[in-house]
Amino acid sequence: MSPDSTDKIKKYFLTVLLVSVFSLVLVTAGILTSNHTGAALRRAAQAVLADGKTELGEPVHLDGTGWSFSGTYRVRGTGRADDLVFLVAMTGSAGPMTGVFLYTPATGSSFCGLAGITGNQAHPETYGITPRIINHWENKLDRLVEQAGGRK
Amino acid sequence: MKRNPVVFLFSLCPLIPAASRLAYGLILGIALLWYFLSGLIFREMIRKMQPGDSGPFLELICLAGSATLYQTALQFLFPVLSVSLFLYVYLSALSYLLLLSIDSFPVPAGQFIPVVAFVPLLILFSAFREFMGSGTISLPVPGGLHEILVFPGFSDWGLAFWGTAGGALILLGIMAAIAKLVRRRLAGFRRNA
Repeated sequence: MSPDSTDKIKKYFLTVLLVSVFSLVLVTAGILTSNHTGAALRRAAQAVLADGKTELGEPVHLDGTGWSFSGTYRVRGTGRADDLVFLVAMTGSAGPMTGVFLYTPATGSSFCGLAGITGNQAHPETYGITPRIINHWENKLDRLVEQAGGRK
Repeated sequence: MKRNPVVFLFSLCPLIPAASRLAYGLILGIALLWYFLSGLIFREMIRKMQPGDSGPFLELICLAGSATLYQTALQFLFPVLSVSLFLYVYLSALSYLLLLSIDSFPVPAGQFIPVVAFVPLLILFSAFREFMGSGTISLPVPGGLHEILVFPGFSDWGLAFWGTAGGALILLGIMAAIAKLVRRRLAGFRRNA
């Protein structure tokens, strides 16, 4: 083997090693933090759904949805097997906020409130989330569940 | 060289929707510093590997990985804000690339470090928009946003406009004009000195 070939193989090996080690670090970090993150998001959503009737269940992945909908949960309780709670990033005129929506087959999606506001829990419009944006997301989530229908 | 301030402010454009609160400005500012520091390390590692033409592509892969790692850390520290800022963490990597492009202009070494200068601008820009828009200052906390009300009623006095994307673009225009004026004045002083 010529010195030139050895040099090329060494470069390829180092490149593959760098990408592999970096990928491993990312996957490990994701696995180690997922439980903590999941629990915190559930607490935040549960605080918004403070009606005493809705208790969050297991996280669920709807077919055809990406990472943006990773905060989707089932609802615990009899007769609520098809109900879902969504945490979604809503960008209003005054920046992005995390919105909490409750979906039931009978009524469709309905906006419950904004998660993560520890000061004054004011009207969503104070944070730039207008009724139009809320309607957009309600329709979008209804379509999403319809498209995923029965496959979740 | 003349385009530097424009590119500098243009780097803010992808972040305009998110740079509306001090809490978001802090998180995105730290993200940019993280890309800068990790970029220095990766650049050195890649330089030692001597990958030839594929070096820039490897650096881009490392930048994408750095952004993902930062998003993971954000999910751990501020889970609710990580949902709100999910897209903008990756857009901040795009802003970082735009800031790096300034280096390709003939700038005297050591006189202009775009990323380091950009971070305080981003934080001040976010704080100004929040303060003028709603009279509050917000900080990131594990449960989400902690808002401190400084001046009640600001949002009712017609100043909320500055918190919107439209207000931010006008603010950027004003900042670009001020930067241009300052540069002209400085150039005038140097000529006369």
